[in-house]
Amino acid sequence: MSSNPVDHVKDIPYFAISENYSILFPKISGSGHEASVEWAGEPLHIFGSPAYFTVQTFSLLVVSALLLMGAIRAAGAVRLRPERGRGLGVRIFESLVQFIRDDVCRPNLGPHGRHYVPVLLTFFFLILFSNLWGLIPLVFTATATANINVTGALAVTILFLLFFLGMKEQGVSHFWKNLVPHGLPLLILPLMYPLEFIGPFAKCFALCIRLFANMVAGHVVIASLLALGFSADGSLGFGVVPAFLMSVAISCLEVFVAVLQAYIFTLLASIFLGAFIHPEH
Amino acid sequence: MTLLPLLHFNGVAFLLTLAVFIVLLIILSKTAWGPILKALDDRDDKIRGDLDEAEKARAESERVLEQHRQELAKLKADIHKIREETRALADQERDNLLLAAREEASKHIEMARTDLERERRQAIESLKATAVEVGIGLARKLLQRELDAKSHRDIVASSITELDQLYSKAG
Repeated sequence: MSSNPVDHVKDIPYFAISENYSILFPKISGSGHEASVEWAGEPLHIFGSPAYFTVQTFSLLVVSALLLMGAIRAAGAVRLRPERGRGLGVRIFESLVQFIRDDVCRPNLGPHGRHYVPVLLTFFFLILFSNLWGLIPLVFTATATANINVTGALAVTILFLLFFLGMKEQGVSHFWKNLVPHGLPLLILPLMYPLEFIGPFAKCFALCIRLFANMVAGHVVIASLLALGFSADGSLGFGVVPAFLMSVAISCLEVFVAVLQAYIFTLLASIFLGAFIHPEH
Repeated sequence: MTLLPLLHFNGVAFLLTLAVFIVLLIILSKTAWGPILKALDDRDDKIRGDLDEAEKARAESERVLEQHRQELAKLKADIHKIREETRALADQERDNLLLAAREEASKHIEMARTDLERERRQAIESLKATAVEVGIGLARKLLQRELDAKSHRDIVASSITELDQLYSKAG
């Protein structure tokens, strides 16, 4: 058990792939603060940084599999006349889908945005499942969305969608023309174009950091509270009961935050997308 | 340390997320989001259709209710009229019956009175005859002589006249 609560949210490598595509396992020597890891060879570098298959990466795969099964099962159970054979999970799933469609996509994307509902649904449920999966207090349940690479990839996907769908819906020339507001004096345009061009990058960067930071912060708070139960020598002290109760309370709050962050990510993504598809708004 | 720094760029996590997202989007669009969204749309349409139907049915039922109400009011008026007519008819019938009964009764009374009168006359006649017989007998016995037939008849006639006068005075 590390004494630093932030360690709780740090990713743990399982294995890596070497430069000549063989699987490398870490060799851990020592324990606690003195633990050190050695790799039998040089891990594959992607964009100049060593790439590892980690706990959080593994969690992402598990969560994706769960989402795949849950969503397909829910789809099979959704009926026109839903009196029988619909469990609580399916009803919640259905309500969330309806919520994303009616209260997130419709107001921001308009009636024409129906085609993009599946994209936003995938974002919402993948993030929601990841956030909630990380809250299950088991050793192998890590929060994929507490990894900046995961949130970064999601944000890059949205960045791509902003440009791609914007150009697809408006046409390439209209897209670049509508990037800046109409009716501006010509002199300001050289200033406005770089600013408006940076806009979507900044927005997506904010999306990435917001989700990542929220997930990290929640888990750090829980880990900090749990750490209060330990004495300086690492044995359980009298503080363990209040520490446990407080961490349970914060965990309940985190369930709310998990849903909220998934919602905020999806809502902002749909707002950005709506602005790029319909520039008049 | 076995732990990776928080801001460590991990190409596997990044690329895997992209891949997972694309795979999920493709598979779920076909197998989950499509059917669920379609089912929700169908349900929305169904609910909207049902509401329209219900609205229509309500208007129809209100119209029928109003019609029935009018018919009911008309029927009530009719019933009232018929009852009044029947009552007038019954009153008249009763009066007629009463009148007939009264006439019948008075006829009976009249007949009874006539009978009585006749009986009385007969009684008087018979009394007269008896009185003549008695008077004659009495006279015969008193006079102890036999009158001739003519004087006999005269005496009787005068006696009857006297008796008539007597009875008319009495009656």
